[in-house]
Amino acid sequence: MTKNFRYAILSTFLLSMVIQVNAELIGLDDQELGAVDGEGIGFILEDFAFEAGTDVATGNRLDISGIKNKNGQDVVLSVSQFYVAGAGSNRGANVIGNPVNLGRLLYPYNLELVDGDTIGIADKAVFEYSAPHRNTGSLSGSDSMLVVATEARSGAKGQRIDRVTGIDISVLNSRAAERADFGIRYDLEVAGSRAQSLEGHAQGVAIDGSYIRLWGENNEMVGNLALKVFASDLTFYACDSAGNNCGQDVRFQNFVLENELGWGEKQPVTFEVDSSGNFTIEVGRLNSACADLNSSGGCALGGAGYSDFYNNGPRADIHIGNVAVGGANFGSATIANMQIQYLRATSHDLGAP
Amino acid sequence: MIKIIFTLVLIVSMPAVALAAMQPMTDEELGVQTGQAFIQIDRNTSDPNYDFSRFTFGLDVDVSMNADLVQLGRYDDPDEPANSSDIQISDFSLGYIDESGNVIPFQIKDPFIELAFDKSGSAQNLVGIRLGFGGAAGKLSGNIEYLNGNLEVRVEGSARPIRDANFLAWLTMRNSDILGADAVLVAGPGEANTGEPISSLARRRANWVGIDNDTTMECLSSGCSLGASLATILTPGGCSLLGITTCFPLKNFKTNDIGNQNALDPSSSNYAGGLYMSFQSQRVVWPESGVTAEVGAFMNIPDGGITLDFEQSFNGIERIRTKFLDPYYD
Repeated sequence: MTKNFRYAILSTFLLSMVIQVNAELIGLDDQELGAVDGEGIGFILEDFAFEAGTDVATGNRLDISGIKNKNGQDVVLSVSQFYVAGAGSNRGANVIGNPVNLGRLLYPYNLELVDGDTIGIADKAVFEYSAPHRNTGSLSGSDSMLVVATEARSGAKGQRIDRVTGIDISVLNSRAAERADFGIRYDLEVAGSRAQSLEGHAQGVAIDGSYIRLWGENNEMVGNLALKVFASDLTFYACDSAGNNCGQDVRFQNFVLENELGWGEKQPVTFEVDSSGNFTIEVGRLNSACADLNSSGGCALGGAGYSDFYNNGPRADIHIGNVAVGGANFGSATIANMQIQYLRATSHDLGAP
Repeated sequence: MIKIIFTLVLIVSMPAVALAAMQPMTDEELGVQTGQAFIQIDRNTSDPNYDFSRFTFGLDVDVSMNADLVQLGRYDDPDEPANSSDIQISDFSLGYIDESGNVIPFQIKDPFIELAFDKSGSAQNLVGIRLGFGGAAGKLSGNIEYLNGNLEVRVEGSARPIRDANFLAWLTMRNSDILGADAVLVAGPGEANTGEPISSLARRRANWVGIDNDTTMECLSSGCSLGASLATILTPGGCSLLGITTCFPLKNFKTNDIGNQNALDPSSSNYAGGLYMSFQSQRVVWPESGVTAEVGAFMNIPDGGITLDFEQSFNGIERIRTKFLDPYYD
């Protein structure tokens, strides 16, 4: 009887929990249910601050050794004073107690399996790791942060980008409190002698719109990559080996990098490491798919696929609003609408004498 | 029953465990492993004015790319044309498409990033950064609208147009004699200081290349001793030599060969050194370049054997196809 009584209490308790849980949920109607497609994990880092390697003098650093110079002398590259913080970090002086939110509930970082049919990769499940997505900008009219002016080509067809006229912050979903400050210090040691240090600090960094997509193809892992970075300010300067006697700042203001590599399965990106330890990165060659070639190697027929590539395919844009050295300004720098038709980079040993 | 299932699971899992076990490498195996020397770091303190730190990456890169615009150093300068830039190249391309529709990539060897530090004071002033290449081979295309930099072009041609224009030349030279001179960036026709090298002026942004006012022609043929003497006094003035134009718009040089690429056997291409883009807040002579990089953004396009006669220089170099659907062709 006692045993049955215990079972009865336990059953009642469990049942009550279920009832309580059900009571807190609100049912979805068919329309709402139809709009749900999130088979993944979203995550955010709230109140996040990180600081490492602050006490360089006592060896609080990461040494990368095994590097040589052309004379065969040992070179050590030390990494230290790495931090991630919120706005106003003051070049790493204000990190702890000054956190940042990386992502938020509406716009988290995502790990998910995506239906490849929806992103131009037919009949594949695609693993995707993505940052908060981007909006269509009110000024740019696209998911690019760059507002551009175009001009007609002289002696040729079509329009091309002539210059960047502005930066459209409305593209970003990361708000000011969700844009991090980063910093890092490198020290260079040559043949046992510490030479100098170089510090880099980034303010207001957002990577909205970035993603890595991976899938399998012919027993090989292939992917597409988008790296989109905005920083309101990048500052570099050098100091002596003790971190003193620092020189003037070199500043990149309003830095924008929008780089896409690969175009679905039409132009996959592969990464291989061979048995000797060297690696190869390849962005697939756009082989001629013309139904008929003209005399100069272009498409007499069948160029629709190429038209799609040149108009809508992956591209890279780099823009710096202003380069400043000390108190002098050297204006903007832009590389616009760069499209890669083929890339293969293979590493090799440089070999000291 | 549970024991049987457990035993079966254990038997099935054992091979996997065995396969996953790591094995130590022997000294011989370890000795053949490479790939650790992908990066090389060099610090050069031999220059009296600057220290340099160079980070070289052991990479062989083949690339075919197109960009609407490469525009570096766009800011107002009272010595420069309005709305100009230190470097402005539209429809910039590396590599090309051959007549059979094949992508022929541009070849790059061992790219590097180099930093320059002013050593005049105690502070470590970072005054320059450049992206350079240990070697490059292939076709570089674009409309060069402004260039703070260096484009190595040599003008060589038959003496015939000179003979036709000058009686003394007619007497001392043969039509088959070859006259030549190196061209540099100059102030062009219609600009102040026409024919003067840009490097001697306050301005830096050029859109003309030519034989400058201080350069004399050379007679390169054997047996042209009298002609050679005469050639030394044949100095262009204001972008003209005996009525022959000696300055040419940079825009005319639409495709430039860098190095000597073998498209059929890329592994036997001859790479040219010296291709780089840099930015500096002071005039810097980068190591092994032999060129003074002016303040601002700067681009050095090395000698890839661009040798043109007078007529070719005037007409420039036609742009090669760089896209399958190319606005300059289709």
